[in-house]
Amino acid sequence: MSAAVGSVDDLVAGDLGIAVVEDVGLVRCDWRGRSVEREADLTQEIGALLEMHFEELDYFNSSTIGTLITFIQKARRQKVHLRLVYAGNIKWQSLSFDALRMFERGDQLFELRAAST
Amino acid sequence: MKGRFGFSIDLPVRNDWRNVDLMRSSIQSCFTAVFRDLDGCHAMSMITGELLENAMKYGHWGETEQVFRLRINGDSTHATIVVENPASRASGHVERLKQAIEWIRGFANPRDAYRARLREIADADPGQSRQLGLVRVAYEGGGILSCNFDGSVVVVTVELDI
Repeated sequence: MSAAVGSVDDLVAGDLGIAVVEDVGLVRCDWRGRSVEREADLTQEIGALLEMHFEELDYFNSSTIGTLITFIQKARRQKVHLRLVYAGNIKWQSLSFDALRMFERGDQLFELRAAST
Repeated sequence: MKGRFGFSIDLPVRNDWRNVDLMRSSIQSCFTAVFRDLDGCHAMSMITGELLENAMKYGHWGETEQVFRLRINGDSTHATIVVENPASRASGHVERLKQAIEWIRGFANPRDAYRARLREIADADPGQSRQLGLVRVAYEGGGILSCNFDGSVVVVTVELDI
């Protein structure tokens, strides 16, 4: 799975679809389906707020979680404002994403938001 | 239904990466038909998926052995998920598997182990092996892990309350 979201192209990789919408100062990525690639990879080259939505995602494997952590670190190094939005009322999403709060540092470069679906 | 409630699944699975999600989603569908607790169904399917991925990645796959085995059984309150696959001591995977389980047990709770592993992943080079699956089984799935190796087959067992 490799996506260059700077091109604002949608991504389809197996059972995963990521719809990319670009607005003024914002790139929004909506994850849908299942992310189960053996070696997931995400690359990004943008200069705006990057907001990833997972509320409609049915499942992701641990490889995807590892990829997200690497992505969070990379976004921070590149001073990209990254926001992950997840379904706070779905237990598996809540457990997975709440654990990522350890990467929030209060500098607003990385933030997590729990949405109600 | 309590008291005479029981279930058992025992399947050989071909060593094909696509079968991991086929099996995982099938398990989720099966148990969604049985249990009202969707979170518990998701936990069981997630655990199944992570164990199958590990079997696929780290199994000793020769020319003739292309199948591993998935067994799930339990009752209304408890489930046991077992994945067995061919393994070789020489590969080092069996030892790493045992060490990973011991490492998880060394923490006060699975959440602490999970957070420690996330920190390790954040600090590691992107290309390094992440080995997050088993910790996720313990933290997100609430599963208790054990493993056994008889010299040619490794059996990974997860016990969880539903």
